[in-house]
Amino acid sequence: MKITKIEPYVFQVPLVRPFRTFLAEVRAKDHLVVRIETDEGHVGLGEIGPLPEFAGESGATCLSVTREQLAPAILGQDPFDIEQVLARMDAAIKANQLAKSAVDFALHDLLGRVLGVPVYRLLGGRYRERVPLCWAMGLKSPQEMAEEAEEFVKQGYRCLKAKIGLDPKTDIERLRAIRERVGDAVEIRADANQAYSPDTAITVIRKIERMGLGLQYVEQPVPYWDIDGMARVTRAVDTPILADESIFSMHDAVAIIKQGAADIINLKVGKVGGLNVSRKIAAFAEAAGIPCMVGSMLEIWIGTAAGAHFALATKNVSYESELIGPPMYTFDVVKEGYRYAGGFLEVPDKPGLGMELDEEKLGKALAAT
Amino acid sequence: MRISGVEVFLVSTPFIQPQTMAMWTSYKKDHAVVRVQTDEGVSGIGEAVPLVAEFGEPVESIKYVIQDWLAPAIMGEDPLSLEALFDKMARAVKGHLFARCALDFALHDLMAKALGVPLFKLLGGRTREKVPVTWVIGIKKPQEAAEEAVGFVSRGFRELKLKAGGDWRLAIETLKAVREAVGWDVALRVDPNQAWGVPKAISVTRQMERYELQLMEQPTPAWDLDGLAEVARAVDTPILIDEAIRTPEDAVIAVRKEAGDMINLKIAKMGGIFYARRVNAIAEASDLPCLVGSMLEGSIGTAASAHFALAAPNLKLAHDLIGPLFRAQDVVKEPLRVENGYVEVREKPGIGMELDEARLGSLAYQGRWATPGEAR
Repeated sequence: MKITKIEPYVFQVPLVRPFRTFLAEVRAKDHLVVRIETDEGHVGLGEIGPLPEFAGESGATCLSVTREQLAPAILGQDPFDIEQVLARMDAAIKANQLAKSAVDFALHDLLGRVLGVPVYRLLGGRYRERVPLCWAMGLKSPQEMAEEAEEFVKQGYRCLKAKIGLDPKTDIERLRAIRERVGDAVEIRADANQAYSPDTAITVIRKIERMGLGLQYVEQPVPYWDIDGMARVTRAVDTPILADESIFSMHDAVAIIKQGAADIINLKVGKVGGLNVSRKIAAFAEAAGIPCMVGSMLEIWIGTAAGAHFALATKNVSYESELIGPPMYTFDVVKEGYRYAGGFLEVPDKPGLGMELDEEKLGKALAAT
Repeated sequence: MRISGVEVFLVSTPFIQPQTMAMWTSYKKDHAVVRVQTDEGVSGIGEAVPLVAEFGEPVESIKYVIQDWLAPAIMGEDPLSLEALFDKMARAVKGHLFARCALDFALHDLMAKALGVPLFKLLGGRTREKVPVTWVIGIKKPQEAAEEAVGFVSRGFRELKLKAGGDWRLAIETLKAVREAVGWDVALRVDPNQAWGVPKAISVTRQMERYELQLMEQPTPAWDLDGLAEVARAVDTPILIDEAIRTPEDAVIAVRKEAGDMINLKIAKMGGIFYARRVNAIAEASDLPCLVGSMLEGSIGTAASAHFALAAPNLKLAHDLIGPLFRAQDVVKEPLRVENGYVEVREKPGIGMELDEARLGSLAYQGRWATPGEAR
């Protein structure tokens, strides 16, 4: 079997309501969809939500990299030789993990369809029945965040994430307002998106601990490059520290694990280069006693599905995942998504990722972009 | 699809030539052969070949642990849900990695057969054209080792491993004789199987470096990772970690201590491909190339190992997958071929091996000291 066609599409999808983090405010977002075809008529779909402030890749770079670098490198290859196909992409262009992830998702979707099994079966099988989720709330006033928290707890979410990082005092107020509103039975995590220095992070987290707000963990409190600083925070506080922006490849995991720089890893399958490498990172982390969760870059359905299959199949993804992109958007380009139910995502048994492109919606989205 | 049965057959396969070990002469290898059946008729086969002096687990123990502990944990389960199956088996019984490995091979064979593809396609696909293997030369007089080396180089082997022991002078003499006999184009590695202390390992390795040593395998005791790290820092030759790593957790500790430069992934000592892939992932992320070692398994275990060796890019060295070369008979219909320095990987579904039921009877295990005489 040979790959005969790789088609990238980039289009924009508006959010239902704006989403603000320390890094950026998002009102509408670019998405890359990759469609792969083989000489035997099989098709695979992948998708990624480029986030330039976070990952250094935009819709435009993903489109050009996929078309000019990745596609020529893997045309004519056997999609079953996935290690080789991924190595050819890495040889063709450095970094650009988001675009490579979309291709990796499409390859997994394709292999699942060829073999007639859901992608999760190729990743270890159904380890858990459904994927437990955490709802993520953008930066807003403490009052507004408390209201959003209440709304989603009513929908069934038992875990909430609050974006923080604008100023320490209000950040603490945000977390207190949320905790007071939802009570102690709900997990709350905070994500500073690199906003603090190590000293500030230690001060803020210790204060939160003294207030008894009971955070599940604090995510990426310091700049991504400061592994030593993050290790210092991890040693200094009782609250677990989660690494996100500090890990964009399997090699990044080495420094984190050697230095004990974090307690948990945010394994966004779309930021590290896809499902194949995500498995390796999850295995490394598991052996080091570091659990993972699957975050998102607010993908629409196809990219979200890839993360869901990984979370379903991987034992070490033992924290609630944040695969909550689809409900944040005004439309999608697939005929049917998966089902959200009371803070969980249900993953169906269809071959591959089980998503069909809606050509009409895709056409409209491309025309409007 | 559900797992409906797990059978264990104990057999002994006769060697072509008796192998003289430190304490006795061996005429055979004992195997625990496993077959996993499903309600849909698809089955898979695996095996474990003990190396009792180093790893424990004689075949009777493997059979007992599989029948009474591991099989009940997975009976009735979906055979393709490996993550859940290995979790259940880990909870059922601790250790017993050879027993676990025999089942692991069978489950991988079964999965690939159920999906109708050769196993390597589910482990990452083809990353190289062929799987190169290493010939292993036991401890013997330098001249005899040199003659054996020349013989196997002429048969196509491009990498040779020399076993060494407490007699380090003999080890250096042997390396010198072999190097002079085979020239500089053949890669030579030395494996003293933990025989030396740290200062001895450093000085002997340094003395060997003039003969171009490809790698030095586990020269110091398995428990002493700090000592191994000291050797790795002191010498130019890459240090291959073997007995010190049996689990993914061991690999993390070795990475943290920078205890070596490469890892020998003997699949049996780690509990199967499921765990070997994890150790390999840790090694790949940490830039430690690996090779697939062996317990001199027969066709079944060697075939499963060869599929893994074909599929993972980090398995960059020649592998110790030469077990079939030692055997006069095996329990499969078409024994695996090891020729011209390469081990065969079949394009058939699963690992590509079919049990020869008649041989399960004629080669049946008769006890530790019994040689399968009627088979010879």
